[in-house]
Amino acid sequence: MSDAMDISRVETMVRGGTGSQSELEEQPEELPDKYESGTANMVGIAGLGAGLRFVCERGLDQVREHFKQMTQVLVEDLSVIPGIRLYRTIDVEQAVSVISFTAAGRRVSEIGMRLDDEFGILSRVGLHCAPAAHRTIGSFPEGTVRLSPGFFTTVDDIKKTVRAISEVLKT
Amino acid sequence: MKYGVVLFHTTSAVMKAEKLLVKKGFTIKLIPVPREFSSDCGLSLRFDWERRDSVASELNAAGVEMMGIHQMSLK
Repeated sequence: MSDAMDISRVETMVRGGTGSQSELEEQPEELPDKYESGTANMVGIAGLGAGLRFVCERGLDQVREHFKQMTQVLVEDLSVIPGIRLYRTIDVEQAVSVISFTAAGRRVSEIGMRLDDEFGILSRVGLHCAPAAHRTIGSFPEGTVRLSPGFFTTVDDIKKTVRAISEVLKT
Repeated sequence: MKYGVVLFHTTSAVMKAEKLLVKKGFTIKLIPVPREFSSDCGLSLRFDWERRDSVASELNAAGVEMMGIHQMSLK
């Protein structure tokens, strides 16, 4: 931003809920109040803080190790299902806990819908708003089904998910 | 059961349509956009195909802009 620009002269976009000068209908001229109508995202900020505290308490290594284990089990179990194609890095050390797959002759949107409908398993299908990434891995324009184990995912959850995927692909 | 699916230009339109149709007693579900209709990876609205005309007229009456209505083929 140019030094010549006087930021206090920028028009407000949203007004109301002044926070500091409740008797006024207009936003106060003081910064940052002028541009901060309403209530700040306290829940989001508190959530971020709690999340960071949790990771620090457990230790990044332990969190990372769990992701690695879950991803490994998922990859091993998925790769034996006939017709499945996995999109992932070969180097486990570089991988994050996100696994993309497609199944020969099946639409990813149908797989995702049935995992949700019949098994209550949430995935994200399609291009993930990353068309260039999908062009790179050769899955454009159909996209993939994407699964992402989290810190609270168990081996049992993974086994159930893989069984569900097998079931969906059978019928 | 035969399903239909409504595609929208924006996610806010999907949510508006969902709210409206649930209120009107339609049995609907938000699902990923079926790949045969679009490569968009957002949400679409699935409904009972027999109610196609009333779904369309409710959404039109409420001014919810649609991108298209299709019949779904389940393989």
